[in-house]
Amino acid sequence: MGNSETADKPVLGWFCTYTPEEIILAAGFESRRILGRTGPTAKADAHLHPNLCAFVRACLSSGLEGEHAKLAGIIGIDSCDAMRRLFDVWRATFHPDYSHILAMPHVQTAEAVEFYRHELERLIRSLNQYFGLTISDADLLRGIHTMNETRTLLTRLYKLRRSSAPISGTEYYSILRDAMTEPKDRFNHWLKQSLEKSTSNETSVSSGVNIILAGGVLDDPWIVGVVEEAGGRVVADDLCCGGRYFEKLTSTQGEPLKAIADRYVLRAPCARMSETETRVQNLMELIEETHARGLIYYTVKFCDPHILDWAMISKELQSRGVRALRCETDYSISERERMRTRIEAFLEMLK
Amino acid sequence: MKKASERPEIIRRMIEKSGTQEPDPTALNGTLMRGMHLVRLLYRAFAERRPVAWTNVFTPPELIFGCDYIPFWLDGSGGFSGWIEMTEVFDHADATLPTRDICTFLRAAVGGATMELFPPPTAVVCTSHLCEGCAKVARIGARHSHAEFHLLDVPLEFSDVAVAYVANQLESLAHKLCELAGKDLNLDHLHKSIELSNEARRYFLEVYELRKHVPTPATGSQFIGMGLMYPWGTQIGVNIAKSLRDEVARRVTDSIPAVPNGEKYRLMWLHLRPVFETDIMTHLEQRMGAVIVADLLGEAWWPEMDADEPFRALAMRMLSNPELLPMETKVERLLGIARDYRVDGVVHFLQWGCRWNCGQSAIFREAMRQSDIPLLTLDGDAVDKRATPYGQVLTRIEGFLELLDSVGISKRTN
Repeated sequence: MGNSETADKPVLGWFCTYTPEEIILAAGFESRRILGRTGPTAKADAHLHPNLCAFVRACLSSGLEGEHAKLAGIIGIDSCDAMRRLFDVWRATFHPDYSHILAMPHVQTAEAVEFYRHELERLIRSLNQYFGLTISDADLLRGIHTMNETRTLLTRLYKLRRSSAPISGTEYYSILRDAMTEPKDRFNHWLKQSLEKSTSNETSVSSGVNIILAGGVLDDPWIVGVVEEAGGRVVADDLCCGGRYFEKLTSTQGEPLKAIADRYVLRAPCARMSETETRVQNLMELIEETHARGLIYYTVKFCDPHILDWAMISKELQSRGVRALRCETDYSISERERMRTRIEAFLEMLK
Repeated sequence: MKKASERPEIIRRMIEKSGTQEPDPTALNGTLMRGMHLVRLLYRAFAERRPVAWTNVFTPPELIFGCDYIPFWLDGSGGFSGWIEMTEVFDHADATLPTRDICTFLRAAVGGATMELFPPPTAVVCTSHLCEGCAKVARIGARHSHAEFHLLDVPLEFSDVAVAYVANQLESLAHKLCELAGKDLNLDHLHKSIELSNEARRYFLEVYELRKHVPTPATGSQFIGMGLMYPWGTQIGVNIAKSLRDEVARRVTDSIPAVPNGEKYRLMWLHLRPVFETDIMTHLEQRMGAVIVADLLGEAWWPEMDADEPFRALAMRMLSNPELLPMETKVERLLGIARDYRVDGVVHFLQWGCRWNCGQSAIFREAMRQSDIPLLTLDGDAVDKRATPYGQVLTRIEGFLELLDSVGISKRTN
């Protein structure tokens, strides 16, 4: 679709899907996730130690390539140790006009929701103070409606893909990338129109081995294409660039900030949260729902939370008879063929 | 529950090792007392019928001792695994973990836990902050041991809301630990534990002041990490701290330098040091006269605690960790320490696998450059001897000291 550099409003950048976009929109900004791209990250190595996760180095590389030169500011989050450092290094390197970091709880309790609500208040105070704003509940509700519209449309797209196959998996994940990086109203308008065309022109479900893709970020959907070329079909995922981004609406009832805190703390957890058992349960439900015959766990090199979670999740899957393959990326093109061979062998085994 | 007590392999290996290793001649009595006490605690965790909590170094020991538990520092287990060269824990960890990219302290913990080398836990407690991998490793250990796992969720910055959030968790945890041990929480015990911790802390603050003396009175390598694994909240903790204070004060009064050949360079050491048997630190301090006068992991960074509000006090202790400070403040603090201790240079040890620490290395390097303070970054592995090339480390250290010579040692940070 369009180009996020042409946004009509000033843009606030963010890195992790635990960032409350509702508040960015309520403050009158466009919201844009900073992501990486496959390719060398050597430039970033001068700022971030090479043993930090490849995703944060790829994000920093995108900044060093000048992709985010026009940002009005950034919002960081302590999603993980590497993300915390990305925030520090981004500030030290690019000196953004505005920056703020949020503390995200690691547990899904009522107390954690309340704590995060306070953190959101702190963010609003900071935005109000720096930009001279007065963000009201009505503004927040407007932000919630926009984000819920994005989530609802993406859920429709996801269901459509499950029941029929109007687009390939690669196209689907490219659209999800756009959802996080393009101006929201423009994206929502585009997706709504596209869905209307697709529903009136359904095709049949493509054949292939149903696969669940789980893990961390997937800012380059190359692996999805490999799965499809090898005779597989990614029918569902547990990814922060996938289902976890849109899976739960923010309530429009009650206090808006409480509703936003609820949505983010209680949404399907990623590996940075403590709830590994919930992740296993979610994966098992996805496998059952989609009749998936295998699972690919896609992680970024040096991502400790996902690597360590996998040590527990893989055992659970094994004990339930789920066949799984772990793939790891460091964003380099050179390792792709090795990964392709492994995925082809895995799918061969599942057929 | 305590089946491993029949064969505490670690204790046997430690006894063997201590029989073959000469003690560091520059070690203070308090340092030796601490080392012996940590081994004694480990032995008691195996031998006594008292509940054992596996914890991490950021869980306040005052809470664990105050609930009448014996702590076993799971992340610290890498330290003694390295010291006694228990390399089989790494091989065993490889069977559980999908990659070797994880920090060796954590790999040692996974290997030791799954080999059942550690004292069986009644509960496993870990914090979420500063080492995200440890919480996952503790959970892996808890699952393997069929023990309850409790995460203390610690936010990234100090605030009143954060203090209340952590204090509530600490209170619930204290009740839970006592329930698991089959007793009621005794607030008097907790009160006493915090008072003892305060007393030990006051001695430590004196030690830090005394270490500023030129020449510094004690080698600094023995202090690195001391504050992280320490019996805070016990009488022995007070005794060790008092011994350290008395001996260091006496050395200052009697003008006894840390090393026999005199202090040539004053260094600040950031983060961990090699803990396996090596003479890297001896070579640096005793042979080359580059004495570590300041470090960050030996500190008692927290304010005096209010024993009448134990949970709030412990929450404040955890959240006041300077590692949680915003980066600009942290850098200012580092520069302040460099000035206070009049250091000639800084060594930043980058433990392979520690994302938290490695991620800030470029910022520290730039900050030191701007302040004209020489800095050496040393990539290495503090635990696994095989992963740290001895010759290369020494060559880099020697090169760094030559650089200090070339810029003139009189150019000391003021």
